[in-house]
Amino acid sequence: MLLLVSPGCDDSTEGSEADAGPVVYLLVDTNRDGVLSTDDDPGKGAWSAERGAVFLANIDDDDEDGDDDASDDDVDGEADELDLARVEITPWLEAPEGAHGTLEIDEAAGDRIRMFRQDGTAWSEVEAPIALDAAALLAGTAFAIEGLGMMEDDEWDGRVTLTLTVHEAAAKAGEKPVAPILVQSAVLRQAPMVIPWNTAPTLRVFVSDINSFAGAPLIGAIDNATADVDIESFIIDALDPDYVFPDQWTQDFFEIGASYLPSEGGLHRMGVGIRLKPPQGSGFFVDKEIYGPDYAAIYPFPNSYDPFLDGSSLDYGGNLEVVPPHDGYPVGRLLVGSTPARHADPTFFAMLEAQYAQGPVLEPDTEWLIVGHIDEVVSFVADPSSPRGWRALLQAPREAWDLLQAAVNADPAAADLVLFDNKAWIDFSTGFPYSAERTIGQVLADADLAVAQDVAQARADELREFLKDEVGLTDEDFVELPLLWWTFAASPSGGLRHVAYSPSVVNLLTFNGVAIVSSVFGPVQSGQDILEQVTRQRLEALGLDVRFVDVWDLYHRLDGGVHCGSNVDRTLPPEAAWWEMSR
Amino acid sequence: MVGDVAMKRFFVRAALLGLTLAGALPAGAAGQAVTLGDDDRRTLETVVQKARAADVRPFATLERVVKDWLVLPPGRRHGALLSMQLQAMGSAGLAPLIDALAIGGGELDGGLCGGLDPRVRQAVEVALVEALGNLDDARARPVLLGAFTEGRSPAVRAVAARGMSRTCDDAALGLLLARSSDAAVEGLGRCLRPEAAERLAALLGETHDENRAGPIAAALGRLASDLLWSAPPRRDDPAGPRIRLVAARALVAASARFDDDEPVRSLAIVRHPDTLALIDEAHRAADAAGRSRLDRAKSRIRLPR
Repeated sequence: MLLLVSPGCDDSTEGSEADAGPVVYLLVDTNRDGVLSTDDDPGKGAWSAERGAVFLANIDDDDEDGDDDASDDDVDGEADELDLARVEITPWLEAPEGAHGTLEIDEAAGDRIRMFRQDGTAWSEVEAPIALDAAALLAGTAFAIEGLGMMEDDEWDGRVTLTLTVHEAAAKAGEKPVAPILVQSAVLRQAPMVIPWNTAPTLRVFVSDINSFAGAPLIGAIDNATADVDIESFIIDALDPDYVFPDQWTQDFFEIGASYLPSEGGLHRMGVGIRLKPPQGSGFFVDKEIYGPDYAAIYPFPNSYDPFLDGSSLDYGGNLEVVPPHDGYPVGRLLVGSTPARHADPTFFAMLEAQYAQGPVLEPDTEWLIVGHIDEVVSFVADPSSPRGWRALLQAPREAWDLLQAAVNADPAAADLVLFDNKAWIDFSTGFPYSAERTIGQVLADADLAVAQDVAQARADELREFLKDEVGLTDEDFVELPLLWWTFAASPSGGLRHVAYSPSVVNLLTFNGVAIVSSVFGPVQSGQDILEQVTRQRLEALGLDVRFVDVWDLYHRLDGGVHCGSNVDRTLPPEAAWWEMSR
Repeated sequence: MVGDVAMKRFFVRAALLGLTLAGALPAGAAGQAVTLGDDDRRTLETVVQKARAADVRPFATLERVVKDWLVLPPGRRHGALLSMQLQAMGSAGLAPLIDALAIGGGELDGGLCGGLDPRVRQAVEVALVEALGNLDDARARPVLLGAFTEGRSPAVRAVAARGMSRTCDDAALGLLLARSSDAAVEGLGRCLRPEAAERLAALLGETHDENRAGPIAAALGRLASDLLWSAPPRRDDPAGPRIRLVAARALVAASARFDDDEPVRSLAIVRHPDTLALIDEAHRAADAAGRSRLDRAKSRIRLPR
């Protein structure tokens, strides 16, 4: 009997004769170049940041039959073939008659993947253990793997171990089983869903049209800006009855992530639309408009989800952001606002954590906010002049207050300047508006507002320290934007919660060098909006094309901003290698 | 269209606050009409009668608002929604609210709320008291005092205390100082008087319960907030420096004793110029754990440049 090993092999291959190559190789794309070759042999028995093959959860709908491609036992066309990870057993040209082998899948992963075997140009499903006769070993055999669903929790980390065992001859009746001449293992791992960050390349920008005049400015601003930078805009018909009610909170009802498979031409992308805002109807947009070829759709919440007892608004897209790439996190890190007392839905959160490339999820405290979304208090924008290539935007309520005070100090008559000129809040009992106009003097005299700025500043400072501790940011990585807050006093027994009083300039939309920002409607002195001009200067200093837009009626006075009213489908930059994470 | 959408967004807001409300209402603690002294009752009966004679519509509005709220599906019947709708009545709501809470008496004991689940009934009571307190009308004070002092639920007492503290006259202050409940703490944190700060400081110093220290520290931080006392109408009030120093001392001491974030957060809200010196002073007297906590506090305080 001849026992063979491959040069430089690891413990994935058992053998004893150092000078000869193995009779066959079990190949997966260990070196992540999209091509199977013997270069993939070294290190294939383990999965690490450096080496290890990848496969996709094949849950898009390339054949547009309305079902996930992985829901049947067929390969659904050429496009679907691209979603499969390849496995090959190389030919054993001198395979003797009686030679045979077995390809097995580890038990834990067996029901999470499907294997196909190639016969000419056709693929057919095979179930493990897969028997290989002498002819198959002689000719070599090609397989492909698809994942059947997303990683959902910590019960499975996405790893699959394939083990090939080859025997030179069959055991004769009545004799001891013949020892194998070769045993090789290869480990693959299901690609996580990665959520691209604000500064990642933009594919298209979404905004909902609820057929309201108040929504027109944002739609127009997005339409113009996307045209200027040659990006697709997607205006969602929010009046579609399938969505139950017209929802202008485009950021909240879905998120688009993606999984990436190394391929010969670079990363092969499968978008993943996440239906959020459970159980409301607007999230069906994902199923209706996103799902299809190269786009999956998932709903990561339990069927028993109760919006009043479960995570509620903490499960909206506005509460799911990404810190851009930094040391140890080549595709950034998820940022979800929460507290132990008020937390995102456990099923949803477990799914996020299971996508191992961007975790553990960072959870800054957003308990102090009415809505509770992380995008109310921090944004990340591109800054080519920064060593990181990006900076974090934080609110600066004290500075906003000080700007008002400074205006009065410089000229007492400024106390009569008006904030929110010609703007109105909404009376929730009648739907009728009432004036939001207040002078600087009235604002500065308002005890509740004064305290709100101090509380909001303390919270901003805490968030800054949190990001410094967890991400390694320094003070230079932050840009502060003046923003006033107020409290909502209708919580009878808990602490007061906060929401932006002046339109939120932190809650902005940015892509391709453009920043679309809520018009502030601050007091105007010498022809300049005291608050807005500071925001403009600071964002323009980052090289951004700053475009203010009036979102007061449809967004600000209903507790949101530009970011809340928009959404973006982004992709990883070509150089991003999600597997290089330090976990 | 916008009106519809506005309600949808509010639905979210109300949902959040409804959680708080639901958790605060002890089952079975039904609301009853607020009891008034004879003089107050006579005075307020006159207020109500005159208002009703002048314009009965606000009374009908209140009834409609409550009834509309009561027929909402249980999952959407949040007290926050009712409270905001009642507050939207503005000053016209004074007499109907007083009537509903204390004069007519029938609204809470029967009428609108008769036969309701006790939790729902108390949600109505909380909303009525909160709306009344937010009117900032001295005529509402006897009702708020009654709601605060009687054996009512913590949620009702908290909103009553909050309403009383908006003016915080001697009568209100006296009642708040005499109590140490969470509701009293809530009220004291809004009562811009040195006695309130001293009482809160004492309560904070006495407690060994971290869960209790957090709300007291938050109330103290609010009361002594830097911007609150540096804004024009209060900038020259001699009470300000006294309140702020009392608060800073108490919060530094609490920061050495508790791991909870709230004392340090409140120190950051107070931003007293002597904060770092007070921390250094406390540091010298603290044990190892206290020194560690104070080091952490010091690293988090940003004082005016």
